[in-house]
Amino acid sequence: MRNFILFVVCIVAVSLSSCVDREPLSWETEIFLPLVDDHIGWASYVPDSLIEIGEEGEVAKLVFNGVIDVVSGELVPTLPDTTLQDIVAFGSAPISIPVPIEYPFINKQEEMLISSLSGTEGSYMRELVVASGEMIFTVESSISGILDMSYHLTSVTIDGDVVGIDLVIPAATDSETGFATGTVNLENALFDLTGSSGVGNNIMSTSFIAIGSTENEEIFYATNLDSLWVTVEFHDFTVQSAQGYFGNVVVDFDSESSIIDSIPVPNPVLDIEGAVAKLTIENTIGADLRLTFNTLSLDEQNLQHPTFFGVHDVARAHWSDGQLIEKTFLEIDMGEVGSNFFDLIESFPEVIRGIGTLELNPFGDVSLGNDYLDVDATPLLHLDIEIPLRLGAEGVILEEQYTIDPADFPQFDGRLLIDLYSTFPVSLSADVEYVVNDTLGTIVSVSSEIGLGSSLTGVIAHAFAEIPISQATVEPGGEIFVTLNVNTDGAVPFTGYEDVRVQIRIEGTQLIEE
Amino acid sequence: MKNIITYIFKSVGLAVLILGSTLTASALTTSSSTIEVFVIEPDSLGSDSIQPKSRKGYSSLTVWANQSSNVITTGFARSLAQGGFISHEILDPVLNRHIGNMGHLGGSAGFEYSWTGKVAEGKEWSLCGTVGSEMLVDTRWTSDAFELMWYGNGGHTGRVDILSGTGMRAALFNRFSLGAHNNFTGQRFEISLIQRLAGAEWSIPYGYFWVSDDADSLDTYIQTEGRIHALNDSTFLPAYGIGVSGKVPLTPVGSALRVEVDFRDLGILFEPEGSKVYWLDEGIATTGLPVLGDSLTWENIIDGNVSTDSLIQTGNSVSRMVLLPTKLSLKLNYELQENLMFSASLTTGGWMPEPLISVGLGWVVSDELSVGVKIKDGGWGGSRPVVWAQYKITDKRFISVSLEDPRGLFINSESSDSFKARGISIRLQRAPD
Repeated sequence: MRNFILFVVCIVAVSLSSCVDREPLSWETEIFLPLVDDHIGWASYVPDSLIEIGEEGEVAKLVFNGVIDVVSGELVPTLPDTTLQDIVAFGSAPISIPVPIEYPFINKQEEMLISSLSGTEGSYMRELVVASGEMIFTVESSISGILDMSYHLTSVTIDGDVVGIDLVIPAATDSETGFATGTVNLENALFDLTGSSGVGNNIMSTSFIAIGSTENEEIFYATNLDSLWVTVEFHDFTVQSAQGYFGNVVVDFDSESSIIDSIPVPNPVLDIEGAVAKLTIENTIGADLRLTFNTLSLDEQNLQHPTFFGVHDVARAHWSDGQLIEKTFLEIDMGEVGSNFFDLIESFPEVIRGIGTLELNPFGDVSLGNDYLDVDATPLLHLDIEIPLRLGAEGVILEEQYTIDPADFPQFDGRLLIDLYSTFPVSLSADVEYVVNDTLGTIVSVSSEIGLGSSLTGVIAHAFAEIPISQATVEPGGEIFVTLNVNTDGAVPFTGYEDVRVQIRIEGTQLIEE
Repeated sequence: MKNIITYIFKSVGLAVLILGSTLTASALTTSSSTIEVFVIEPDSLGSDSIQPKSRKGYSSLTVWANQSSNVITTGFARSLAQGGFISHEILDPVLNRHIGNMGHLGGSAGFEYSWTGKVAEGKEWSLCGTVGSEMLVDTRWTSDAFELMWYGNGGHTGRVDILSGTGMRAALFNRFSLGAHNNFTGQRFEISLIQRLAGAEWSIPYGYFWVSDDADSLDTYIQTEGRIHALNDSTFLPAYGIGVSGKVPLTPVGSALRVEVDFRDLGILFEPEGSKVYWLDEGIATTGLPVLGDSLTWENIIDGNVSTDSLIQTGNSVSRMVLLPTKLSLKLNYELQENLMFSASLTTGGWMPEPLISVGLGWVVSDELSVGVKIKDGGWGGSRPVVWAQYKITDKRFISVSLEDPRGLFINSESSDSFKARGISIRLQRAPD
């Protein structure tokens, strides 16, 4: 047993002695990891909506389908805030009349002519649907009894129900009149403004009924000195749709829209053979339109065109029962002989601007009050451009930046492997710079040439670059800048499938230390 | 004779039942054990044991410590202990030894006192019991995980590195058993109260790492779970369990062949709530395939532009039941000559990743001294020699010493560099009267 104890003591002693002056453990590992794998194609700098990929080897097209709003709601009739007042008196009756509670003692049906509609001379409305608005009804009574009252706009309905309000008017006292008020929301209310005859215009029918309330405990009387002051206010109306005659409205417009600004091609050469450009005037209202352009400019370069600046009349759209049956169109060929439109397009303009006038009903009330307009369908100008992607360029066409985050690479000795694969049918030169996040801003750069590729035949041109890195250059992280330069000899056709694959990997050994 | 035949059938039936239960348990958990098995048992059955007379019982005290690995040599361990640069010259032999793509390292240390009460004349059963404590350590890893850690991925891109199955666990078990010893047959059955005083475990049930040949794509996924069986204030969180242990001798009277089935800690550990648990579920993939816009890359992942399938959770465990580190042994001794004995054993469980097989010879040198040699294979390690000696101190008392891969014990010597196992076991025992 004693020997065993001695043996155990020896083992412990040896173990402890082996721990003295121990060196830190270290070993070397070899890493090979992907850092960046990026595909840069047309989609990287041309929005999907601007390019139409060529099928079966056809040339891709730059496509612009822009909308120019020249109306902005200015053609829509307006309904100003309106206040209607009425005083109901009892004439010259010589005696006091007991107010009945079994039948109305006031029953008044009226048709009011609303002359302030639209505001355009000669215009009139037959039907309106309001998107929003409210009616405030107020009544004051000098009668010394409680009255039950109802006020209805009999020509106005919401979902088929007549719009109206029922109120209880308190009894007047010696010191104050009976007062009652109420509000009706007129959202989506349909105004039939044709009156009781059905052929009138701007007429609103109303009904006012008053009756003695059963809440009265005693019989009360109305005298020739009594009256009811009725006030009806219409507030905050916005029109959803209207039918009638909107008058001869002339609206100036000055509208601009961004165009193919997101194609940053240096010194571009654009072969416009086969290009198509047209301006379409789309009339969606049931009234005739006349469009007159004073100026059309692309990046402040004025368009020259043989026919564009004349008068363009567009017939009314066909509406039936509130449904748009058929729009009407007028197309203008922007690229016709004598136009400089494509010359302006070659410089890849960013903004198109149109100045002119839009005239409603240039021929007067030819529809006999059947103009129709819905604010959700206003006239638009469509500019459609298709340009085959035959493009030349000279200069930097691509600059990409990739971030290498700081990472722990102890005693790293290796390299960044940069592969560039191109299917662009042009020669490219690539400059790769690795800017280290160290205090000196160390820059390591390499250059490489990429030959001709082809997306159609699947030829992939390849270039390889290698950047030596060490712990000092990889641990702080940094930015890798990849710049591609191109110099085409004239315009080159592209299918839209071309891309450049940038692949960056790190390979090397590092020393792991405990 | 009829009693003996009945006894043999009962014993075989019981052994089969226990074997089946243990194998089921082993399928659910890896298990282990390491108490040295000696060839010569002073408590061996003889014809006179069928009619016990009044006598003192048997007792033994065993202390052991052993460690083995199938790939980690003493030299490699020494290099790690000494520190400094670990070159591929050191690593290559270790990597090449990963046969079956798994590396293991484990062992146990502890003590056990086992006793049998006084045998009353004519009484069939005696009280018996065991008290002991054992530290178990089990680590295992895939060769891919080893290579990824020590070599990196650069040398084998294009290959899927399997990490599943990597893990470690360690625990300290205390046990107290009471039972009955059959004075006629030598059968022994004990009910054990087992305490896991402390423990920790970590594993990767599922994980892989893959970088394509050209390093343009990366795909990795890992699920890992760790548990520390301690409270938040770092105090131990003991768990208690119930198990059964025992042995069933299957020796015909007068035969030179002795067979014995041992089973130990067949039962359940009731783990209380409160262990610290850590889960990580992480997946990263870069396709490298052309898509509109940026593809999935490491850069995008670092920039946070890619939502990785990631889940990190920490918390406290709920109570649960786990299997004890059950161990089952089948031992065979055969007396070749009067002073020469052949022994073999098969042990499984006890957290060992593989069954432990032992084959050897024992030689009775004199009335006082017996010596022997064995070859062990399995457990956490590969083939290794074992030498043992048993010395009769007095008429009833023996001391036995067993050394497993003795040259491996010289840890700080270069002569032991190539050895992967070491162990020592000392047993003091008193034979019954």
